[in-house]
Amino acid sequence: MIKLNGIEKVYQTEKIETLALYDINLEVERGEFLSVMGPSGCGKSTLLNIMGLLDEPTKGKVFIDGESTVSFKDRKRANVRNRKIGFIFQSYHLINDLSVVDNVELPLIYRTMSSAKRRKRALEALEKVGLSARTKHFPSQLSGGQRQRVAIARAIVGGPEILLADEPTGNLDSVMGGEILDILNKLVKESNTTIVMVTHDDSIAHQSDRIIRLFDGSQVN
Amino acid sequence: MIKQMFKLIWNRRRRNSLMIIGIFISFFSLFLVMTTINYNFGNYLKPLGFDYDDVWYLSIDWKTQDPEAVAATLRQLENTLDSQPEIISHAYSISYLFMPSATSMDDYHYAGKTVNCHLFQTGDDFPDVLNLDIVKGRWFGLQDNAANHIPVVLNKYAAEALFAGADPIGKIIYGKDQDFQGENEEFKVVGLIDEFRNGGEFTGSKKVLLRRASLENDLTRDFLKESFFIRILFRVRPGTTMDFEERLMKQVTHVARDWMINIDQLDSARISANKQSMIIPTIMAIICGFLIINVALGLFGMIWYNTNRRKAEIGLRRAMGSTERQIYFQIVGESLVLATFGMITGIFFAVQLPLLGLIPFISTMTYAVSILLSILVIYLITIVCALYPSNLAASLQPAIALHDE
Ligand SMILES: Nc1ncnc2c1ncn2[C@@H]1O[C@H](COP(=O)(O)OP(=O)(O)O)[C@@H](O)[C@H]1O
Ligand SMILES: [Mg+2]
Repeated sequence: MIKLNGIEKVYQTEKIETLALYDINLEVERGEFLSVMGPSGCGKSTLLNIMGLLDEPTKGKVFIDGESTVSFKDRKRANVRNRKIGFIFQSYHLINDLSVVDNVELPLIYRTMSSAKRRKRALEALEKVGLSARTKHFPSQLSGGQRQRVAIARAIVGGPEILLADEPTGNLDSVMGGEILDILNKLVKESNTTIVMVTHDDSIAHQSDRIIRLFDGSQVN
Repeated sequence: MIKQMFKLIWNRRRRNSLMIIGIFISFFSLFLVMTTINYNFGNYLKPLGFDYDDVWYLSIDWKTQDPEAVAATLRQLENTLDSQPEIISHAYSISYLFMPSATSMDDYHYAGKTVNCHLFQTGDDFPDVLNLDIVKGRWFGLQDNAANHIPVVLNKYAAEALFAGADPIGKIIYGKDQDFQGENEEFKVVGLIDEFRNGGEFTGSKKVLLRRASLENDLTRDFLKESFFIRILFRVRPGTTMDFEERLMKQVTHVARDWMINIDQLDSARISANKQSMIIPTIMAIICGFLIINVALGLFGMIWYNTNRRKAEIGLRRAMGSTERQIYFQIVGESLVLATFGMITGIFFAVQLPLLGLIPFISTMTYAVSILLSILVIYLITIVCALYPSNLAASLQPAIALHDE
């Protein structure tokens, strides 16, 4: 599903050069639930961004469905992000001035689709995360766990094959975090979605199929 | 996508109100300036109604004197002008050409109707001097010497207002309405002319009544008592040089020894009238220019600030599948929608001017053109101001944009 070949990422700022990732080789199978662990600043987010075509590696290749993404132009990359990948972030990244259902529709407005169909799919996605009662609410009216569920609904509304979740439970207490994880587990089972999740929490990581650990930009296991 | 853009703008209306108000104010001021400029420029394109080339004039100031003595000297001056081979024709002009601030208005009455016209008093050869076309009837002349009415010529606007399409020739109009007790001044319409914009090229069309000024009839020589200044307009042969002015000056001062006489060219009067007419539009245009610069800077700042504050949203949209181009057009599009909201408010106020008829001499067409031009200018400014911030937003690295919370 996703294959990383010799990935290296160097951040060049005015003063210093940071080697965020070094020689990462990784293959994620279809339907696999992979956890990425490691201390803060070790390159987990960078890795996820590169997998999700939000960032480009300095060296190495990213393959998605066996296709190298090196030559992808902006339009193609945007299309892959739109159709194949769903993102979930630690800080939810909801648009506060849009209602819950409008937030969930966001990926669909970058497709050609009637607004009725968009609305229908958004409501279905909200039902899957158990938020059917809050579609007209605004993010500020929701708890952290509810916001993250909105974000999950938004990530799955387009029917992606891959979910990339960067510390999805990082801002939540263990009960809410557990709920989020249940939803993700269900997705893997029901729709064979590939999930790559960054987490600090061992108990959460252990619910996934496989764990990889990063240290200072390198894979350690 | 468009629908969501409107939704977002609507939900952010309070935060966007500053920009909308800014655009509203600049649109409305721009509209006022455009209207002024359009009105003046529209006038400039219209025919003046007469020729000023090769027309010179004597400005005569005879101080207080016995009317008979003035008449005698004026006759001598006329003879002097007649005897100049350079002069083709000449005519009195009690009223001034190219002096927009110096016009006299009077009410005239016909069949219960009262019409306020600009009064222009002039002599028999006026059409020859100015190449004035007589559309209907005739100009005043010797045949009016024995008349017991004051002969007048109307321009088309005055004729339309008084007679509403009926033939004006031969009609008698009155200086006072019918109820007036006493001697009522009677004017007989002898001719009709088309346009006559005596105020100059930037002034509007007006209702004008031209009345005979002549020493040869008791009714038409009253200017001798009422005025101290008159002008005699004269047409010189093409190619007449300035030294003729000097020669003529010697002769006329010889005839009218203690009068103040000047010789000028109508063209210089026209130019100074134009300068005078351009003062207000020029000041307005300068103010508007500053305003637009301010608005553009403000707009640019606001769009930039808003875009910066929305980095995370932009990053998110990229993650959700937006292309760089879509981000670019979203920012430009949102700015245009905000501009549209501001302008809708502005247009609402702008259309009140023609609807309420606050300035009657400005046509609905002039207003409409001004509104359209203002819309165009505001959209243009908005696009120019949005280009750079939109470009920045579009070229943001999505991972970095998402990082900045
Ligand atoms: N845009 C960037 N510019 C410069 N350095 C960066 C940037 N993003 C991340 N880094 C650096 O790269 C390293 C890895 O960052 P990150 O992937 O965010 O770590 P993690 O998610 O594991 O905490 C860190 O040292 C961080 O400071
Ligand atoms: Mg991180």
